[in-house]
Order: sequence, then structure tokens, then C-alpha cells
Amino acid sequence: MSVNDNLLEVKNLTTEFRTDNGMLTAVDAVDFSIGEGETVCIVGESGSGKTVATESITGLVKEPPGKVSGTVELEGKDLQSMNKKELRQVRGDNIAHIFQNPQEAMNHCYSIGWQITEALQVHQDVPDDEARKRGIDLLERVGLANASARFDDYPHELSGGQKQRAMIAMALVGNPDLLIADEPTTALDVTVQAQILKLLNELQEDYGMSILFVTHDLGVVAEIADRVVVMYAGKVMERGDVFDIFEEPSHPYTQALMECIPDKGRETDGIPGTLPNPYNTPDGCRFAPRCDHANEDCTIGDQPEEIEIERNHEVSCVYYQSGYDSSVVRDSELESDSSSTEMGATDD
Amino acid sequence: MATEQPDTFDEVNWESVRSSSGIVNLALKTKLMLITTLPLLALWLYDRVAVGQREKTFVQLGKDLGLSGPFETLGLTWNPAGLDYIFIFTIFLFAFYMILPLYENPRMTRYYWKEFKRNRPAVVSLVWLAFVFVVGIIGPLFIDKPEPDILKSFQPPVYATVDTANIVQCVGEASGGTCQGTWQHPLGTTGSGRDVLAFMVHGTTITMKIAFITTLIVALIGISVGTISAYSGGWVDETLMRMTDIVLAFPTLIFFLMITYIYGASLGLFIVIFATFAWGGAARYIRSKALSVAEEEFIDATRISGASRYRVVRRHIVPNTASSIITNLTLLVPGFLLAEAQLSFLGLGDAGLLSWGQLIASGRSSLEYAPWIILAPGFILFFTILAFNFLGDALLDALNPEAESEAEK
Repeated sequence: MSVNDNLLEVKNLTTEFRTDNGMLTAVDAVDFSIGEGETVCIVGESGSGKTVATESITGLVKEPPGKVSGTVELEGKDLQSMNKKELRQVRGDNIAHIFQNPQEAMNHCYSIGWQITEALQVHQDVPDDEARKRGIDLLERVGLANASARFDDYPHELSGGQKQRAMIAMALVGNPDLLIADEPTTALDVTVQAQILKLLNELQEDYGMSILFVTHDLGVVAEIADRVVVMYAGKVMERGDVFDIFEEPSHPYTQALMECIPDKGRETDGIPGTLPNPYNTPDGCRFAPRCDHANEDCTIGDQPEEIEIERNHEVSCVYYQSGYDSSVVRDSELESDSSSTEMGATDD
Repeated sequence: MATEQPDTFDEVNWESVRSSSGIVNLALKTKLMLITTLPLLALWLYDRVAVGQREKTFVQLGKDLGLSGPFETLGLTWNPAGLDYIFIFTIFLFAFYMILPLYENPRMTRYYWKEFKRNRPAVVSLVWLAFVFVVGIIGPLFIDKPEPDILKSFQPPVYATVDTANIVQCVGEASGGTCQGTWQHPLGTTGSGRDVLAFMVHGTTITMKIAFITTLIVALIGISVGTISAYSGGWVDETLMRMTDIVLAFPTLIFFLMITYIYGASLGLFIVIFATFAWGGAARYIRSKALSVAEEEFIDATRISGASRYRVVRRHIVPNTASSIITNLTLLVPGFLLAEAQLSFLGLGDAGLLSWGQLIASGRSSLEYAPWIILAPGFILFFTILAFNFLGDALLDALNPEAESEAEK
């Protein structure tokens, strides 16, 4: 896929927050791109900057205290240099967002129908009855039973899964090119989760939209992703096609994440240690303090350059640089660290 | 719009949809508001431009249409001043933005009513305030302004008596040195011979004016400052909140006395000065509520759907703080009513005004033998203020959707 085909092109995205304790870098020089009709998953444990990265794309980060730099191009147009009016046009028309917790992402003062039609009427001069018709169609499409009656229900009258369906309808009503889904299934139980993922897959085929999916759940990634970006402490650790990542997780962090997938008859201990202090990130690789293979080269300089180990599969680890034996990290997976007993920061 | 749209979703013809006119999309309440406010505005402008000729125009209009008599019964010869226009405007606002939505959304209305009627004193209060409201609006159309008549001073209420030594002439039967009250003046008369009942009916209008116009001013400034400051943050928040501090620290009473000393007392002055310096507490309270609302995820969800800052504040932050706003304003009104009565009692109000406060003040020196002059408006004022307080309390319970949804969790 050539660069020009990309719907979204994020380059050198950095998001900092000015806090009482100094500057906090939540996202540090992150690059990624999303092609048309593609699903890209950003994976990482809580606090690794996934959500802030997506919020920086759409300008949801409050400035100040936040500070976003780098370029975000949607269909070749730079979102950062847009004025408020242009940005508002892009939001809703081109980009839509669904949130982790549908309970909180809905206004309890209005019926779901009102909120769906609002999202439509913000941009387009659509008469109420047409907007209503389209809203009901959408609710039917996202699988809400008895949509025309449900249209006038208030959020508190719906279950969690129904609310998330309504949220998706709300996001889709403007027919976006890019849907950003920030852990949309985390607050739902497993069966509903599967239904929602299936729905998103279907909707993507129907609409030909791209999805940027943020999750910490590798099970979900396997379900939905085309490509995966693994983030840790604001940096990209590894990226590649979903098959490559699952077949051959190459960064020690990705391997550690794979270890954390609960499985029958296998205990998971989580990854020992915690995320580095965001005010004072360690030199070298961010993951080095928790990495089993870290050597002294891992703790000097900057995060290692991303190395393309195979086509479209890049890893940011010193062991893949020339002069190192990458088999140290490649072969070690899945059997080496059963000895670690300390419970670290488990993924929530 | 996306380039490829699958057939499954192509039922809406977007071109025809987009070409439709914008005015169709206006809510009914906005349309009604425009229909009623524009003539009012025109009338006001005409009033400003054609000073002195307006009376004639109305009279002429009445003659031409053969409606002189009915015109007068409808109160159209009544001479509206600036304050009356604002009062009518606030009543339109109240009707179209409070009453109409309740009518349009019967399900929520039933729910609110179910919650509200649990509070018995509040239901009684609501009935009482509705009564006061109706009397204040239509009372003056049926009951003439009480004119002073020194011959009829200190007439007692019906079934009550007064010593003839204190009065000039007795309207009813006088026997054995006491004067009997008559139905001609059911609540008696004041020292200047004004009918107390008529005085009180006209005073109700004044009370309604104070309640509605101050609420409008306080709501307008308080809600804007509170929500904008909460949503914007940064220097906007800082500036607006320091302004609020200044307003809260402002010695309104002294300022009012000073202005009164220079320009003379009037109701308009009272309302404007007290209302423009009373929004500080409301703004702070609303800001504190709006701050927590502004952090909610649905605000992000709305922003991401492309809504403007105005829309986010107006459609999402204000409705979510509405319960606090309504309660706060309801509890603010009694303060203004009391302040007016107190200032009048101290002789610092407009002596020509037919307000409850002035009525109480006029009975001050004759309390000994004519207590009805103070008692009647005193009780009415007391019950009205009590009713506002009960109402505010019950509204807080009935209108709080957050408390409700939290209870369901």
C-alpha cells in the first residue's frame, strides 16, 4: 500500500501536559497511518497513551494544559492547522468517535433519538421527520430491537449493550470515513462484546469506513484488526499486520502482552514491574526496566529506531539492530519467564 | 459525505433534504416566541418613536374598528411602560419555554408530577402561586386601580368594626360609636381611602413583575457566566469568576440608596439594580455544577460530532445543570420580594407604587386601630414567600435526573 492511499496519516505526534509536577509526555513522537477500509488497533496496557493519542487526532485534548505537536493528515488535509470551523466540519462528517463507557457518553437529559438526530443536524440541514426516519433506520441497522419504539427512550432505559449500539448509531449517522473506537467493548460483558465486534465488522464492510480501534485486549485485536500498533509509555514498540504480530511477536513487550492472554489451564502473572514515571522517562528503551533481556545498551540514548524486520513489520528494539543477535529475543518467548512470581501491573 | 454509500442505506435523498428551508427546522417554541415577541418589539419601538401620539392611535384604532368599549375592557388603554414590555416578554418566555415543553412531553411531565406530588406542601404552594400568577395577570383588567378618597379612609373589612372616632365617614352602618364593614370594601380601606383588596390585586401584578423580571436577569447572566466559565476554563474562567467576586462584594443596598437619592425611587430601578447584582451566587453555584458536567464523556461525544461551543453549552451543559438552576432561581425570588417590601416599609420605595410593600407601609402608623391594612398583605406576602421556598425544595427532588439514574445503578 502506497502512502498516498492512506486515509489518516499521523506523523511525529507528541502530546504533553503541563501539570503541577512538570511536563508530562503522554504520547511521544508516534507515527502511524490508516488506509481506507482498514482496521488498525492500538494496543497497550492502561496508561500507555493510547487514548490520549486518539484524542490528539481529533483535537479533544484540552489546550492548555495539553500541548499537541506533529502532523495529523486526514485525506491529505492537516487537522492541526485547521481553524475551529473547519475542524468542526471534519468532526462528525469525516471522523466519528465511540467511547469506552456508553453510560457516560450519553446525555441523560435527552432521548437517544434526540442525540442521534442532533449528531446529524449539527452539520446538515435535515428536517426533523427525515432525521427521525434515518435515525430509526440506523438503530435497526445496529441491531436494536424494536427501533422505532426505542427511538424515544432515554439512555437509562437501555442496557449497556443497547446503549453501545445506540452510541454506534450516533457515530455513524454522519457517515464518517474514519471511526475511532476507544475501548468500546471494555464495559460490556463477553457475549455482548462479541456481538458488538461482529457488528462493527459488518458495518465496516457496508460503509467502507476505516476504524481506529483502541484496546488493551489482544483477544479483541485478533477478532477485528488488520494491522496492529503496540504502544508502551507513549512510544510505539512494534507494528505490523495482525497475523505477523500474533505469529511472531518480536518485541519483548508484545511477547509479554501475549503472555497475559488468559487461557485455559495456564496462569498469567502479568508483566512484572510498572509503567515508567511519565514525568521522568528512562533513557533508552522505555520497556527496558521491565524487560528480561535488557542489556546496558537498552538503557542509553533514545528509544531505538524502528527496524523493519519483514515487510510492514517494524520493531523498536536494540536486538534487531545490526550487531545484535535477534534470536535472543525471538526464541525466548512463551517458556522463559514462568519463573517470575512477582505480581506486577496487570492489565485491567 | 463518503464517496461510496451502499444501497442498504440510501433511502434518504440527501439533495432534496438539504435544499429544504431552515425555518422549517425551528422548534415550535421558537416559532411561537418569534410570533409573539416581534409584534411586542414593534409596539415598543413604535412607543419609543411616537411618544405622545400613541394614545391617540389606540383611540382612533378603537373607533375605526368600533371596538372602543371592548378595547377598554381588554385593558388596551392601559399605558405600558418599559417594564411592562419586559414583563410580557418574560411571560411569553415562561409560557413557551416552561409550560409548552411540559405539554409537548407528557411522559416526562407525568414523571415530574409523580415525583413532585409526593411533597404535599409543595403542591399546595404550587396551587397558591398559580392563583397569585393568575390574579397578577388578569386581576388588574377586572379591578380598577384603587383611587384615594379621604372620605372613605380606614373603612373596616366586612364583619369587622372600627371606632368612629378614627374615621371621617362610615360607608356601612354606624351604631354605638362603631362602624361596620361592608361588602363594598371586603378587606377595608387604607388611611387614604384606597380599597385594600384592589390594592392587593394590583400589588400582585407588581409582585409577579419583580419575580419574573429579576429571574430573567439573574438567569440570563448567572447561567451564561456559570456555564461559559466552567466549560471554557483558563483565563475566561478566571476573569468571569473574579467579576463574580466583585459582584458578590458589591454593596447593592448602598448603591441603590444612592441612585434612589439622585433619580428618585422606581420599581424599574429596584429590579434592575437588585437583579444585576444578585447573580453572583447563582453563577458560582451553576459553575460548580457545570464543571462536573463539562468533564463528562458525552460532552466529548458531542464535540466530536462537530458541535460548536455554543451548542455544547446551550444544549448539553445547561440542560444538565437545569435542576440546580431552577431550584436556585426559585429560592432567589423570595429574597427580592422581601427586599421590596422591606425597602417600601422603610419608606425607600416608590410611594406611588401599588405594591404589597407599600400597602404594608401605609398601615404602619395606624396599626393600633386599623390592623387589616398590614395584616392582609402581610399574610399574603408571607404565604407567597413560603410557597416559593417549598416549591424550590420540591423541584430539587423532582427535577434531578442524576439522582434518579444513580439510584438505578
